Amino acid sequence: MFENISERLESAIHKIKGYGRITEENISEILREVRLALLESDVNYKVVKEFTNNVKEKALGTIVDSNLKPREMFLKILKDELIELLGKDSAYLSNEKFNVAMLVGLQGSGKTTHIGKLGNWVRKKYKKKPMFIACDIYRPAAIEQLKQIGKQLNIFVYAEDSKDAVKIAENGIKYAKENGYDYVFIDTAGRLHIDENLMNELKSMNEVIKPNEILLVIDGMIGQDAINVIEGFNNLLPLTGTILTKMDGDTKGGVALSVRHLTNIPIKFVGTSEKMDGITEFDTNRMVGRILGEGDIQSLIEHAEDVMDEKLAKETAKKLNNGKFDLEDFLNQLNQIKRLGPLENIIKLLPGASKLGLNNINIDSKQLSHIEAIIQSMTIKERKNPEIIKASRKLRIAKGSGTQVQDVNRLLNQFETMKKMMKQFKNGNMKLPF
Amino acid sequence: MGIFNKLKNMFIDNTKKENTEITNKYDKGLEKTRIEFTSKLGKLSKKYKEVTEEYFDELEEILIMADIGVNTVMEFMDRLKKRVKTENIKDTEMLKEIIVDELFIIYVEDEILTTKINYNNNGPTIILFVGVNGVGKTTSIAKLAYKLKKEGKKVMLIAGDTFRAGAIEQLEEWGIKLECTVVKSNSKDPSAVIYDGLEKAKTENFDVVLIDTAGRLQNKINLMKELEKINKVIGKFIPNAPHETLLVIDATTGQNGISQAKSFKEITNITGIILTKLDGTAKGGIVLAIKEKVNIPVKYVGLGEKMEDLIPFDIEKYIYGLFKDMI
Repeated sequence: MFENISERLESAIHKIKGYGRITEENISEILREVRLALLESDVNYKVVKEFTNNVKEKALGTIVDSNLKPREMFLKILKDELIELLGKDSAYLSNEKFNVAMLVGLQGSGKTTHIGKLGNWVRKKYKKKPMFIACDIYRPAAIEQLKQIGKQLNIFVYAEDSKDAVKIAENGIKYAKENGYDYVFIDTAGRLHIDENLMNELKSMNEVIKPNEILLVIDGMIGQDAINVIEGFNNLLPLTGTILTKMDGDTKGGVALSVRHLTNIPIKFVGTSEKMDGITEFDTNRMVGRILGEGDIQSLIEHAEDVMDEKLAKETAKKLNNGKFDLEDFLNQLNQIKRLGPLENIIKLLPGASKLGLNNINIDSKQLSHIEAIIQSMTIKERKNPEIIKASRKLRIAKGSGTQVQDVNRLLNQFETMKKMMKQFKNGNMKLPF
Repeated sequence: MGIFNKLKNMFIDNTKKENTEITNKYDKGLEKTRIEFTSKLGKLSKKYKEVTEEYFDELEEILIMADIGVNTVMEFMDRLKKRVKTENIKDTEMLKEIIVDELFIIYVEDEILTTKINYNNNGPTIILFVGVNGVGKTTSIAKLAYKLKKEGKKVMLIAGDTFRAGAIEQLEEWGIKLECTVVKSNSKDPSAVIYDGLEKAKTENFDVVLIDTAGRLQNKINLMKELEKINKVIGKFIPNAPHETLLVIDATTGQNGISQAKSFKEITNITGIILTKLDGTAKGGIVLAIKEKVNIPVKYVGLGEKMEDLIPFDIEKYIYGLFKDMI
């Protein structure tokens, strides 16, 4: 997300390089670029106007007293204004003794999927015992969808065969309290903000259950209509936050820049993949860094810490040191890497990724699965002692994994080379092969 | 101002009952859209009797707010300003007509556009539904199936979304309501279930097969490759199929709509767009930019939650719906 804003802004800022100082004349050209970049990112028209005006005023006003170069100066102003726009402080998800969170939004924004992600999240981060309540009684198979997600995550889903969503929510909460659940998520039906009947249903649900959180789920690809949607929901319900979904697409997600400014509702989470751990807490500073193309190492480290198994990593390191690293360990490593999610997403977080053209890189995850399949087609004995794998074993492994004998050979060779390199590394005479 | 007169005539001559019904539906569905759009344009003309820089600024805002596409709007504004200059237009009332005219030209150009389905005369007609997540593919399939069944066609639905939780069940529930055959499988490979469905459609003489696919973001290479494979499997089994590939786009979609259209067109032969959720406040203006930049026309629009709320797209009625108050 945001790559294109950052590219556009970078090229605009680049133009200042040649100028000795910022003047009314040269800044108008740059501001036009900034303006188009923001509009093409679906930032609200009014917000864009205000933003460019503010930047202009500040740039023209402060240049006289500053020792900074015009480019740095402009960049700093832009950064400060972006931080202002996104809201300075982070907003956290409620963490009381007992919590109820309602997810609301338009059809297809990703409510049910994000209920799953959030349940998983509070269990991990808050050490809570989550429960879901299925209150989308309208869309065919919506309850079934939540049940399947619950099953996948091993989280209980409360559902009733009733046509009264408010009653279901009430009963569900009662059930949760009686059964020791302490974080309840309510899935509501998708609805248009102008649908009076359905909006009233949410209103009475809010009055009856008084949730700690009412989170508006917004599709990151939404255009200028975002403001109508956000205001429509916000006027009827005391929203406590928003979740921006589908931000792993190539949308520029300008709605992020509009939400806070137009309504003062914080963005709490960003949805970043279809997987159940594809959710990140929103952080203004990091987001601004990303918009300006500075990368986001912090997110990368936290994500790695989240999914990596520390104990396993230590064991592997030990084995590496003893030269006892075998194919079984290699398979474990592969699985760890896979848990990081699509490698493309990881690379995007690296500073300067877009400058190096890495933001649009595509990695064939099939290649990883082929390697995995080959190793899985080996017996444990073979994995521990790859040297015993000869012709007939190779043929069997290739057949078992749906690959060719050459593929098996290549893997074994690569593994041997890797081991040799590690040995050299251990002996301290490692030479980089490039 | 030919187009404008045409619109006016349509408004007056519209005596056919069916036509009026559809027009009314557009009217109703686009009510929110129209009120906002036209009252804005009307207000603008009242506010500025003469064409000024400020007038253009506000006009630009109205068009951008309709999600028409930043490039398309910028080029449109340039053309408009040129016309104002060469034709020496001063009166904003006159400009209102030119604005409608120019918008129409963006969409239509010189082409003859049809919203008719390209039927296969020699065996079942295959219609593939594609799009990003949550746009309303499955619901649109149900609505189109309802329409086709009413026309007396033997319709099959194939549950090709093997990924999303509850997707197959959702289509099955529609199948029961519509009394349509639904083909599904336990396989995680969408191509496999589609193959099964097509085989059944051939032997049991189905007229139309509607294929649901999983929502996929257009920048996910692996998912797009999967779609490419699906497309190949269909084409291998029935030559020239799919006969229609419909890209479903949510009317609230912003500038990303253009990227969606481009990417899906690269992989499949998109023949048309279904613009869904137009009954909200979203204007769906991105379809104008998509038509201009990627040359994909809209075939249907979704104007409500009921089964009969899928209407063939008619650019004249669409613009008429937007500008009725002006005429």
